[in-house]
Amino acid sequence: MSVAPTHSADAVTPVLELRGIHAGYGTIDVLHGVDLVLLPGQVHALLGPNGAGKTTTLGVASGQIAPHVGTLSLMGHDVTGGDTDALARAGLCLIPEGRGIFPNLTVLENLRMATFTGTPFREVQDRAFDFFPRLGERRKQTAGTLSGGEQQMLAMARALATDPAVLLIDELSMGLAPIIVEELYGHVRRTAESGLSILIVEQFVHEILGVADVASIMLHGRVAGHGTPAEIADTLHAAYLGADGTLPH
Amino acid sequence: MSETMPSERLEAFRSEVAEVRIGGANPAKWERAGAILGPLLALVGLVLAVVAYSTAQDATNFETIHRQQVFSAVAVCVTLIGAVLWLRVSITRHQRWWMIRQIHEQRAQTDRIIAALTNQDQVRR
Repeated sequence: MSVAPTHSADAVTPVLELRGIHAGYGTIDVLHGVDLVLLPGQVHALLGPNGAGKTTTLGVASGQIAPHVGTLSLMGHDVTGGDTDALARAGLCLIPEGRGIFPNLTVLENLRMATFTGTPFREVQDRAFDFFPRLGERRKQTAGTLSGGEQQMLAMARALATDPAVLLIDELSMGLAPIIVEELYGHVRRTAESGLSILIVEQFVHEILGVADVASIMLHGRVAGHGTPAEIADTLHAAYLGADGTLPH
Repeated sequence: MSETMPSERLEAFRSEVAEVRIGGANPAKWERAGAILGPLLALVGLVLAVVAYSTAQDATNFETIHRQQVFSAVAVCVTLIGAVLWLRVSITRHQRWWMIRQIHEQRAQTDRIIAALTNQDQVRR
């Protein structure tokens, strides 16, 4: 396991790359030099305890938070400070923490929101209901009255309907029962098999063990370790609890 | 690692991100500029129109009066442009604030309904 993620030896252009990112809110820096690489077709898990800077990292990766220092590159192009809507239209898609849906709109109306990229509504529906048949059964139901898992399915369906090139997922398991989380990660696995590049933020490694190709652990605004999920799992509890006073390396 | 996604999608993504404007239009900056520029233009236009009117009043020949009339018309236009800009920015801000409020309130309302329905279910059991 290495401390900082590095480019692969075969010099594949990363789909998404963060270099030396310092970012935060107002005058408060939350990230202190984050380096992260997401290769094409890779599922990269970003782990860490509360307050480690995972969500802020996703904010920078999605272009919503401009870094004070450092660069955000997509397919080798420096897009630091680029238009967020242009990045979204290009195929950079974020599923935010919690309910990234409109609770007062129906499932169909929520899906209609995904037509901003120009995808016909019929196609958006077909893709969504093909991937999540349960949503098809609840198409006219108000999204806020769906179960937590179904709301996450709707958020994922809306994201996938836009035909993203990179998917950023924040805390998919937040507030959900383990059996629902397992089901959702099954969907993520299916999505990943289609070759989509995915960056997932999670607090607990066991949730994504069977899904991620690589994992990074964040502590205090820095990437403190990088490796396979299994390697990270071995040191995660020590990193979270400071059991032996050392960070994974 | 999973199978790499279709290369045409990656190529499309590459070409689209290559065209992304860097440090381009920042809506917040535009709004801030509009909120300052709008009232400023309206005020400047108004002052210029009053000055032109006053000058025309004191003028004794038609050429000066005519010139001041034209100047005054331009000043009124500047006032209108400033006012429209100010109004546009104000409405945008208000609508955004209203939309956020609606979303928050409806989300809270949905939570209350779900909690009430859940409680009802538990009582029935």
